[in-house]
Amino acid sequence: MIQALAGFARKRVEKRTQQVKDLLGMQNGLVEQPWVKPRVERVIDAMGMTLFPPGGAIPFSAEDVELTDYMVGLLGKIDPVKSDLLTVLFLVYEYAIPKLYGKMERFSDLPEHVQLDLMEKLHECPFYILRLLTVSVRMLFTFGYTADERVLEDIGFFKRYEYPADLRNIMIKLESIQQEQSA
Amino acid sequence: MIHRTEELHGDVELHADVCVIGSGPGGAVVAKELAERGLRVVVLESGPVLNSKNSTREGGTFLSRYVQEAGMRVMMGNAFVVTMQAEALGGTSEINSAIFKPIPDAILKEWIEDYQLKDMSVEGMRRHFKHLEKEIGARPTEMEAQGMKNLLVKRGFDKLGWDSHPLVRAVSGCKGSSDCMTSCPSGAKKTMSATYIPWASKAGADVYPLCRVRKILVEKKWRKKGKARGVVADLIDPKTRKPKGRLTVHARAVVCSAGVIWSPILLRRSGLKARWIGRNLCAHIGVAAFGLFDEEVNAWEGATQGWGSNALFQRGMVMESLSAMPAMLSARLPGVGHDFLKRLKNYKHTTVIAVKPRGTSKGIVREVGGNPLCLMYTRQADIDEAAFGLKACIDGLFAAGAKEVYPGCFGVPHVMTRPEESEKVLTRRFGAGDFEFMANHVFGTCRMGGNPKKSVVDSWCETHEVDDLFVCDSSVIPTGMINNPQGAIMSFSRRAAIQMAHRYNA
Repeated sequence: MIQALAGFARKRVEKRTQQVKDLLGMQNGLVEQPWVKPRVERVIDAMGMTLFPPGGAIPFSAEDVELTDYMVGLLGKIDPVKSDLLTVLFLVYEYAIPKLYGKMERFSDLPEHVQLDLMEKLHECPFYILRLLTVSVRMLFTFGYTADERVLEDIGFFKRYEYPADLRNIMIKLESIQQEQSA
Repeated sequence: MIHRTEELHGDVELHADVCVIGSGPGGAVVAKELAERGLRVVVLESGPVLNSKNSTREGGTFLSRYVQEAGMRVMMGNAFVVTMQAEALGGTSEINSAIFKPIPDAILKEWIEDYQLKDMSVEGMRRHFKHLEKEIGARPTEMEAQGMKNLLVKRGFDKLGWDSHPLVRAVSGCKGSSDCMTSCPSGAKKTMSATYIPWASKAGADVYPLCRVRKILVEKKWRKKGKARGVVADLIDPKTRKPKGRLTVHARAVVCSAGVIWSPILLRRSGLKARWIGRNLCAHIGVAAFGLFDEEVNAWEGATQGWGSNALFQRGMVMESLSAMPAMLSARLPGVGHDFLKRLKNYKHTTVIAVKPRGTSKGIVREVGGNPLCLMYTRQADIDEAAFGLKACIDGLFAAGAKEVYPGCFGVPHVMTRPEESEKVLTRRFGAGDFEFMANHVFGTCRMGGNPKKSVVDSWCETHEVDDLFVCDSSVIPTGMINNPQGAIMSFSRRAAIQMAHRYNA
């Protein structure tokens, strides 16, 4: 009985929340909100360039592989609850984490060497949660970084493209269609 | 027949003898056995069809399409342990390495005694396993398919004088493309969607992908045991992954093979109140170490997991070679910025040894807001065993010739360059948060047992509380079992299916 009531209450709350969102013209998903998206993009930019800077062993930086677009796209693909949690995490990185280390600015406003120092300290942080979040964020960013074919080729990850759904196969097919059309 | 659910709309009603929820190793075997014995079977699977035509190696896209919670499910507690289960036709067999091992006899005897499984015997279970091993074509991974990454692991184990053997996998004619986790492009891997599902379909079963079961229909009478009478499911739109219609299956029996996380949730939603539903979540909580070698290893060539060692079996753990998409394993690489890029660049010179202790930690699974919540307390004993296992992995890598080893844990050097440094792993008392644990083998949330007060299903996988409702997946396995669970799940399921066929054919 209690479970049924709780289920009923949850559905009512969800319905009302959606009605309010529709009334205010809010997009679904926290990352799509107009006052959130630019902030999230800025911090993803900054974190991406810290993790994958230019001039490294792999000659493509986060900007070169359009990592920000990938990450924002990924937030759109996954479950809305997880997407919102990740968005909040990025905002925590932007506004709260630097203050733990005595920096009053936003993460994206810090000089590059300070951003790097901060991320290194987070990897060594005695607090498990902060370490865990940093490693998880780095793994997500690495998904985005290695999604770029050029990065994979640079690390020698040569694969026969046997999956029709792999992007490179789609691009090759598109190119041949375009050539046919122009001919 | 495997139906195209995209063509179904609105409300659909079906009638069957048995409705199977889930098409993983448990559900697929049950469906095939029952269909071949003349029963009308309907299989409902919440995920889409996964094959080499629609798979991709791009990690983020693959996880978001074919893995539950986009691969971000964690068991929370004193450590956050990542666990992955697939959401695709064929279940987790589509993304695992297809390692096929039996239940160790000693552990099976322990279960029979401790959980009062009177109708079960070691010999009987061994017969089921042998039958399945032959049917699925499981064999040791061929040397030609091993690849350098597995052969280096072999070298390390051989040099230390440890047990060292190719892993037996449900793969026939492995080409070593290292794509076990993103759908085998050559069709060598014997997933459920390549074997039992088509066999069930050929025998007359109807398979519906993209159908997410909401609830099991249980007919209850006052002061009498309930009876399962069917299921209600949502038809899922493949593009939006949102419900677009309703499907109701009326059946004489229901087999729930939705996995360790979703089976207890479905049972609870359907009104079952047994205390142990969702409790007793167990896992093989594993750790791994990376080794950097001078030679080119090319971890994307060769069987995903081709070599193993039972050197620590008596201690309750196995060691195996391991590979995955670079992004997934990169969590264990140390460094940030240029340091990290240097290590990522050297990925083609690395291989990994992983260890999986049997584990004694327990947890629970609950439903919160329509989503699973998994909680687990990782016991200090398991943490100490993980540390012991990690040291063995590090020793194995150095013996194989690694010039650097990355243990991937906090509190010891992130980069070890000398074999003696592995001792540091034993001298430090680790906390749960010091490791990057991963646990894809999970068990126990609908455990089997003879005592209805301490278990959810009996030895034939039928729930104590509701007649004609069965659970056939790894949630019935009472504890960790050292070996990979696919063989065990299929053995229990086959055993239960044969019994069901006698009952419902009569």
